Amino acid sequence: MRLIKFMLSALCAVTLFASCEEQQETPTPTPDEPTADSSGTFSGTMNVDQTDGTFFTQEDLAVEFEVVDATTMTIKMNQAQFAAAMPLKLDMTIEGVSYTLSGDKYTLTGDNIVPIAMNGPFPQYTITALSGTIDDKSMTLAFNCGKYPVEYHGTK
Amino acid sequence: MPLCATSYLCDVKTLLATLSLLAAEPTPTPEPADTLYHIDRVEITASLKNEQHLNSAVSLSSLTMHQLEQRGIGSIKDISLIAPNFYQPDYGSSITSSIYVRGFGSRIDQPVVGVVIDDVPMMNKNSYDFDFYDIRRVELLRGPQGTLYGRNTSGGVMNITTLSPLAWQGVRAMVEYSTMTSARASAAYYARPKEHLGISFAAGYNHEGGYFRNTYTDKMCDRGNSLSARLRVQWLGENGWSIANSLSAGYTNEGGYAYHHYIPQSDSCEPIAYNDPSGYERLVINEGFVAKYEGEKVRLSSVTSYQLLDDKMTLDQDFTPRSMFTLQQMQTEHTLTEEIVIRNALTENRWQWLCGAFAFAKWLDMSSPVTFKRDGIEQLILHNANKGITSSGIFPEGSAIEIDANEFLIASDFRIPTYGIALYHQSSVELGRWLLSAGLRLDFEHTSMRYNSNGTIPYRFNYTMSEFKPLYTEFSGRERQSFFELLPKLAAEYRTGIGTLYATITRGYKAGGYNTQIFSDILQVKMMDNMMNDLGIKLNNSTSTSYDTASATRYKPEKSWNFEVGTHLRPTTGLSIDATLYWIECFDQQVTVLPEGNNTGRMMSNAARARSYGVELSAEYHYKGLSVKGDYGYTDARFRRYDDGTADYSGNRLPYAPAHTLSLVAAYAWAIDSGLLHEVAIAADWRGVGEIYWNEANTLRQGFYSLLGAQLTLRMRYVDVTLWGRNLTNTDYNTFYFKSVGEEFFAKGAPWHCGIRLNINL
Repeated sequence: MRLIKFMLSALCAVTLFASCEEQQETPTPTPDEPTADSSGTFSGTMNVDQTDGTFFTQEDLAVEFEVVDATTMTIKMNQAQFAAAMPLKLDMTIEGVSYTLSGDKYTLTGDNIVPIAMNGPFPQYTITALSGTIDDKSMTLAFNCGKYPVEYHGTK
Repeated sequence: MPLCATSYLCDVKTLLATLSLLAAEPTPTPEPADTLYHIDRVEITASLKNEQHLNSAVSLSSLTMHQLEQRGIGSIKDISLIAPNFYQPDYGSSITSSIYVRGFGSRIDQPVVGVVIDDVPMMNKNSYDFDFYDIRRVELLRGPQGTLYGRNTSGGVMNITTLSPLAWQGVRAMVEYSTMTSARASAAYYARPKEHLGISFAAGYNHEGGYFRNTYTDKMCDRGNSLSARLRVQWLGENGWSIANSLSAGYTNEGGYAYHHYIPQSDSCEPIAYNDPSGYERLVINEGFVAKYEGEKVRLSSVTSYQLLDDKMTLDQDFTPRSMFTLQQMQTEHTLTEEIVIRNALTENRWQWLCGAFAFAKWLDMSSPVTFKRDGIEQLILHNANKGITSSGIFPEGSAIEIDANEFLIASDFRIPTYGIALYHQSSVELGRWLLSAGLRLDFEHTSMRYNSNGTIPYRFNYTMSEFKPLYTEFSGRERQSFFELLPKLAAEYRTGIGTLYATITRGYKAGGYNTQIFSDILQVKMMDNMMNDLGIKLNNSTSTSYDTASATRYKPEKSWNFEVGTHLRPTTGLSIDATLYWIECFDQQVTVLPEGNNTGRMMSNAARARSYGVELSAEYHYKGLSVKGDYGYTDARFRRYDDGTADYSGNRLPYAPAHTLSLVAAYAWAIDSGLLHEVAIAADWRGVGEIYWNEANTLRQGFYSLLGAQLTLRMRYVDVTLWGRNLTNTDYNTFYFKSVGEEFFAKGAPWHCGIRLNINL
């Protein structure tokens, strides 16, 4: 479907270019807008390696992303709990996550990002080795939160 | 004006003429009088409603002016226990006039007993407690009086009548001093400048030195002063019309709240010690206008009143030396009432009827700011907020929420207008020895509350936030509710040669209202939620009050059915015996609930269903100079159902109301025929009460205790000198118990004290 849309838009562009061929003031052609959504929310499962041989799983965890500019985006985990013994859930925001867009798929990378939680930076849980993908149906993340390896998979 | 023999004859004639116009029913022939007190023997019945009960099917106790002064009654709280199952403890402030009758009562909000002063119903119980002087008569009707008196009379009605300038003229003055450096003084002038016109002015001053010392401030915490004045004008017109106007004002400024911290482990109380100022200041103005018409066929009365209550209560609400939190409650209430009663004339007609209409409107503006101080911020706010944070192990050591203030304010403002209208009828038919009565009242009331509770906390989480951030939280809105009640009454009375037997079925009704005192708790919860939302966290096991919605601030009316059989016997001259058996079923009982945990408020909830049954006995005997009076009441009042969510209290006794009340008074007066001294009178007064349970679980109680009083009066021509003493055995007893912020407190009764009083009647 998206391919058909692309071909139709390309055809229109060619037609417009042809019709204005003889004009002096040729409008600068705009680059194709990314067809992927620039923001979205996913719900899924987060597994946290407790580094003692056990894992903590949180179901129905909502994670949002929002594209900030052409190369970075922000990821926000809503009411995340990283261990069974953790007596609270918190909102954690990871800013400055690098991405590349290929079609409708974002590929994410990041390292040494200090997350924002409780109205400020949270250096104790610096994000390292972040990787993941986002498309129009799912989000997959893997990173270390401090010393704890975290994996997340969510769908829309 | 001296009541000398010649002038007095004129006065008696005038008095009798007055009485013939005022009296609603045939009255006993007054005996020749040589003192003011003898007018007690003449019934002046001002209200058409009051006369309905005379010699009728109701439990009635009364105190004459002589008895009031014989017992040294200086306020409404001194009347406690003078009637069976009537208990009005002193909780330590004039704002609290909790009255318990037959097991039921209330600590806050709507009372169970209505107070009527010179035909004017007091519409706010905060003004019940006033200085008594020149009170001519107090009548206490026990049991629901809803048919004639409406709301908040499910336990009874107290009718207070002040001395009328048409009944007595002259100058009265009183000064009194007691060992607790207390002093009272009053002066009054009663004049009858014209045959049909009476004017009186009375004023009083009362200084309480206090019984209890606050060891933190090393000052008496229950000191106080009060001033009051009353202007009364009565006019007897021609053609059966009469009008009366009474304007009174009272100002009180007092300490109070002598609360001892209770240590459950040692079952002992600590000395009173709290750091923040506490007290109560009140201005009351009551204006009442009564117009009456006595026709050949019908009689009519109209009572119009305006009442102003302007008061301020200041509390160290934790009652400890710690700076936890304080409360100020300021309210201004304007009330208008109008009541019209029509009834048939006193004839031989076997059918007596009465119709009435009552309307009232109240406008209450209340402000109840709660100030959280440093210790309170730490214990009540930060302790809860940081409980999940510091123990989580996910933050570095020392990470915590901080508040950058030594105190912060939670403001709560309310506007509560209340309107009500009622129509009622009561008929009595005489069939031989039987008198059958039936009545019904339709009572409608609408009330609404606009509320705004707000506060700002400057806070930060020190691990992530370098700056403090002001966080504003507001809880505002409007609640409304209406009540419609039918209040029937059925009574049958059988008259014998020595008295009457009667049976009644009546319905009681206590109005609903709003829990303004829970708003600081609600806002605390919302502030906490707001802070957690702002931080983006949610505590997994947060503990907070569940009373966090506006609907929880409402409570409904309490209703009851009262079944009663009794007798009024007058077997011989000078002897009267009254006995009553009663059974009460109470529905939607309004129960004071303290939210669990470190909450600061309290609230009324229709959480219980209860019943009460008991017996009441009164006997009075007069013979020459001897008078003996005894009153005993027993109440077994229990919850039929009450589960507050933490425990089931079904079957337990209702707290705060005593199981037994006992009062014995014996007096003897010797007439002395000497030039100076006319009479010597002695009186002993023994009152007992208990046991009283202090909580719904019935784990804390005050056992039965008794208080002994005595007095000696030397009565001269113009002057009476009285030496009196109270609690002569220095009984140590508790009058009140409550919990605040998880701590327990008791208020103690007054220790022994004595005094001297000088009464002047000119």
